[in-house]
Amino acid sequence: MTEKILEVEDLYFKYEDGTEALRGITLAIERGKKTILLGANGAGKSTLFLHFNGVYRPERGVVRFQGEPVKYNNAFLKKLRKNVGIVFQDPDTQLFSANVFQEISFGPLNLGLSQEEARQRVEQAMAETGITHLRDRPTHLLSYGEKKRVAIADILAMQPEVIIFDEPTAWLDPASHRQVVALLEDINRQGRTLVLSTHDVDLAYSWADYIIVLKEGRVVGEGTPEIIFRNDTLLETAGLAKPWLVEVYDQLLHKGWIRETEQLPRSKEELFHVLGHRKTVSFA
Amino acid sequence: MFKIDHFAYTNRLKAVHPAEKFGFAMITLSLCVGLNSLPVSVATLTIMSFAVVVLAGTPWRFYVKLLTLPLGFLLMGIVAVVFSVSSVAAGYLWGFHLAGVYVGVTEDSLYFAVQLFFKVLGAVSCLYFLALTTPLTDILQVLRKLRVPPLFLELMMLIYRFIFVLLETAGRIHLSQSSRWGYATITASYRSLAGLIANLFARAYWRSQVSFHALLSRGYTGRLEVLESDYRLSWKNITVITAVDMLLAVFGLYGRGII
Ligand SMILES: Nc1ncnc2c1ncn2[C@@H]1O[C@H](COP(=O)(O)OP(=O)(O)O)[C@@H](O)[C@H]1O
Ligand SMILES: [Mg+2]
Repeated sequence: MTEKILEVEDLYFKYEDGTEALRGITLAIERGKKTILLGANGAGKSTLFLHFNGVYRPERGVVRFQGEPVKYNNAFLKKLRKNVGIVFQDPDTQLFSANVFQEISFGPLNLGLSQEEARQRVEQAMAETGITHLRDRPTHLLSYGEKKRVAIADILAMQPEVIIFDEPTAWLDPASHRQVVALLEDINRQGRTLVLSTHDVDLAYSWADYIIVLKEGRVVGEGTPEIIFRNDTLLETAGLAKPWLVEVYDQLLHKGWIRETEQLPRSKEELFHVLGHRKTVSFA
Repeated sequence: MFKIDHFAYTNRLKAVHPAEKFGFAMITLSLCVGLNSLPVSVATLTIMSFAVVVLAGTPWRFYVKLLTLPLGFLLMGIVAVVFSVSSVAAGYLWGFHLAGVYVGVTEDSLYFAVQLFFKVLGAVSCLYFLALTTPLTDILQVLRKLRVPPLFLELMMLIYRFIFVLLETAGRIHLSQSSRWGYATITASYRSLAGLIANLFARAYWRSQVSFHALLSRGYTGRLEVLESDYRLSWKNITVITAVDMLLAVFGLYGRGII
């Protein structure tokens, strides 16, 4: 049932200036799941992502796509990049074309689709990200949130199996933040595998199916959000805060205002629900 | 620059086929420069200004401001042309005696200066017409049809895109420097400017690497192909453009006694 779509084993990578960005990473991404790579700045998240689609070649270790070790020849890389799309953190480094429509058409044309098919892909990607009205706009006159959505449409138009988002909510205002998170939900519902890097523990806690914690180029912990955020020592070593939901829940529990629930509340609504129970208990 | 671009994307002639606008600008430009006649230059300036302000709907204040941009250089050139030097005082409309020669303005030199003035403005107005009505992507599309080498076009596209990114980055650095009194004194200004430039290049270099990785990730293999927009040729426009340029040509050639 659980199929591993991407795996890396004992991965090492050093930049030209000698920075050891990855120091023996082993992990696997499951098909159809929402996986989060959690780690502070410089933990190696972006570097790891560029190994997933063969842009970087590891110094040691292997990357596997659908069980097959990545080969660094043109044919394999073409197939790999068709299936593993990356939305870069800063849309300004990703968007290169002068207008939105042309920008999104670049990926589909590289897949060797006909003009007609490419056009359809672009239309569909614009509709999914809600940017159809921006089609003829020059990229540099867009707001940051709009650029972000164009960057996502860029990748959606290629219809990859796995979509990787490098810190998708960094620098976004609250409204764009909500839009992007909702968009991520939609994309996942279509059965695509999502991998997301962030250091936003609240997002990781409420959104992920599975969390992998990175620190200084190593995996220091992994598991479901509940397991990760109940592990105080892990949070401490990785320098991560607790999600506010967990913090509030712990406090309420500590003060004896609520009873321990089977599962930690994963959203505001679930927490309110737990609080609601307390009331009925105390009045009874 | 941001503004020119803004009008290029929002003007009323945006939907006109770029080849028509490109052809109109280039043919009229060649006539204005090639015929070298005052009436043609004035006519060019008038027609293009009409097209920019009335047809395309660019605010006239903005357009006039653009036209005055090259005026400084132009006037310097004009001054050099308008004064002529001679050993006799004959034929001057106005002049003075200086170190044994007469310096002054003759009827011919004045006419020549006026002619030059309008020729330059006429030519500039043709380019403004193109810049204010046709986005770069559309111009590239026309150049591609004209079989300009792809490498050249791709460079134009990337440079155009990253000029804006670079401007924005420079703007941000400048803002953060100014908010810390980086430009309060002359010395501080020089130091801050040096820092800005160094920083800008470092960031540009880093950015170019990330951008390259982003292109690779989307299957880049050396060609920056994108879909072109659909435009319809309009026979009405082509007829009008041909008629106007024919008239200009006839007008100019007739004025010089060729026809
Ligand atoms: N192009 C580069 N050259 C040299 N060192 C780099 C480069 N990119 C990243 N690094 C370094 O590699 C480490 C991991 O960086 P990165 O993968 O960007 O982390 P993250 O995405 O988790 O913030 C950091 O120490 C960073 O400074
Ligand atoms: Mg990063």
